[in-house]
Order: sequence, then structure tokens, then C-alpha cells
Amino acid sequence: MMQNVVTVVWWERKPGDNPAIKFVIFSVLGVMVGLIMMVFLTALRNVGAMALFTVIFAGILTVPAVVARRSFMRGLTTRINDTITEVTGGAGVGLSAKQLRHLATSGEALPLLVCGMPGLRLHVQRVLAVPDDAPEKWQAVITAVPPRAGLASFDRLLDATLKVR
Amino acid sequence: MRSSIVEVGGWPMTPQDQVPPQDNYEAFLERLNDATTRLTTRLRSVDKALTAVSSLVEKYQSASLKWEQRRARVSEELDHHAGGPETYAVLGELHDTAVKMVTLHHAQTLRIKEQVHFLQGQCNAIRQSLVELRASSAALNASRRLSKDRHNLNRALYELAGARGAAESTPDPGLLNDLRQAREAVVLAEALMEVKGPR
Repeated sequence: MMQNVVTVVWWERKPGDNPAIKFVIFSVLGVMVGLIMMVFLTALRNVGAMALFTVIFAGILTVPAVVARRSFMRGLTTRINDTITEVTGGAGVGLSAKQLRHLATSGEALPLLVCGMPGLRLHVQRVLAVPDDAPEKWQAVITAVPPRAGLASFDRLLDATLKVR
Repeated sequence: MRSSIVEVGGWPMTPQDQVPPQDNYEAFLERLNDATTRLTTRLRSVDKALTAVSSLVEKYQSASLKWEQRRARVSEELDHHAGGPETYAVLGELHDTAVKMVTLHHAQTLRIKEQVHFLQGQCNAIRQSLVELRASSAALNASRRLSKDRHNLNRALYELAGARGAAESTPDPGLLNDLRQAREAVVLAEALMEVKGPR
């Protein structure tokens, strides 16, 4: 079972790296900074200005996280695509970062054709981590499934034929 | 200070003394490193692909084997057949199907094996190229050290002997050869990337 699984690449993702979570944290920080600045700036003393300030503050601070995430995903996609190209002999499917995310969230398998022959599948799956606070570990693996063969049907037909006799 | 000596002595300063000689190496070592990095990346993906496709070959081979077993069994049943003609006909049909399945799986296995061989060839070519690149890089580094020492020695001589010592920095006999070899290694590696790279 295990030797049929080829790990193309694996990566870890800490919950704190999520841009959305970072944005929330920076928003809280922005509210606090805004409250302090209210003391000095009378212009900030209304809800709209305060909200605008918070959003811009958190947005600017979140940009690096978004950029880092983007470039990381791009590198990941490149590595997976490189392997796919070698497997399929060039006529492969180019995976985009969006498709990769889709594969990860849906758990679907991407079929790969080797010289037009089916049997290889690309999965993006989460590796089960033991402790709760451990970073999420993900991996992209290629598995080989046996070719679809009508062995069972053939056996049933053969049995039926022999029983008749 | 030194320039004033040169002016007094009236000896022209040779350009070799002003330009550090290791600059010749810098660009080449960079190219070598670049080619090595790219080939290593390529080797990694080719290696993974090779493992994956090889495991697929195993699957197809075992399927082929299973059909071969079915075919043998039906063939045996046909030989010991003692039933009616309809049963015989059905058995013959099943036998034909099994034979077809065996040949089909066999052909498919062969086609996938071709891909395995292709990937193996690529793997070997890249490994070979990496070895060449590494040797070239080692030779260049050694040559660079020697050249630096020679340069330092020349400068010491020049400074000791004053202007009249006139550093005729001896042309580096190893340098041209090393650079040529490095260039060849890089060209080979790049050609490999282009020829084998379907992208």
C-alpha cells in the first residue's frame, strides 16, 4: 500500500499564518491604537473615521502575510506542476493555484494520464497531526490505482457458465 | 602613494594590477551554480515522476497477470469440456475475451514502460550533467584560489621591487582551460534543459 504512494511535496501551515486571522488581530490592534489617537486627534472622534482607520491599519499590516501566502502557493504549484509534467510526458494539465486550493478543500483526486493511460491520481490531503496545537501538515501525493478491469464480471460469467454444465 | 611612485618611475601600470583577476571566475561560478540549482530541481521532479510511473507499471503488470491466470483457467476448462455445445461456445467466447484483455494490458504495460525508460534516461542524463557541473565548479574554485595567490605574490613582488619590478603578471595557463571546461559544462547542462524540457 505505502509504496504506491509518492509524496510530491509536503508543507506545514500554522493557523497564525492565515491572513484572515491576522487581519482580525490587527483590527483589534487598530481599534486600540485608534482609541489612543482619539485623545490627540479630534477628527477621529466619530464612528466612520474610526472604522476607516481600523480597516486601513489592519489592511496595510496584513498585506505582507497575503503576499507571502501567495508566493508560497505559487512555489507549491510550480513544484507540483513540474512533477505532473514529467509524469504525463508534457501533455499534462497545468494546475493553477486556485485549482490546487480547490483540490485541498474538496479532497477530490486529479486523474493523471501517463501516455494516455489512466491510473495515477493526484491527491492533496491533510496529514493527521497528533497534538492539537501542532501546525497543519499537508501533502500532495500521487497514488496508483489498478486499471479498471472487468475481472469480477468475468469471474461471475465464468462461474455461471460452469454451473450450467 | 603607489600611483605617485608609478608616475615618478614612469612605468605604466598594467591593467592586471588594477582589475582583480577573480572577476573572471565570478560570472562563471554563478552560471554553474545556477545550472546546478535548476538541474537539481529538475532531477527531484523527474525522480518523483519515475517512482509514480513505476508503481503504475506494477499495477498494470499485476492486472495483466490476473487476466493471464483467467485465460489459463478457461483454456483448461475448454480442454476438459464435457458439456453441451452452447456451454462450449460461451467458454470459447470467454477465452477470446481473456486473450484480448491480456494483449491489451500487455500493450498498455509496454507503453507505460516506455515512459519509465524515458524518465530513467532523463534521470541519468541529469545526474551525469550534475557530476560534470560539480567537477567544473571545483576546478574553477581551485584555479581561482591559485590565481588569487599568484596575484598576491605578484603584488608583493611589485611593491618590494618598486616600479622596476614591473609586475608582468604571468598569463594564467590554467585559467583559460578551466573557463573553457566550465563553459562546456554549462552549455551541456543548458542544452539538456532545452532538449529534454518539453516546456
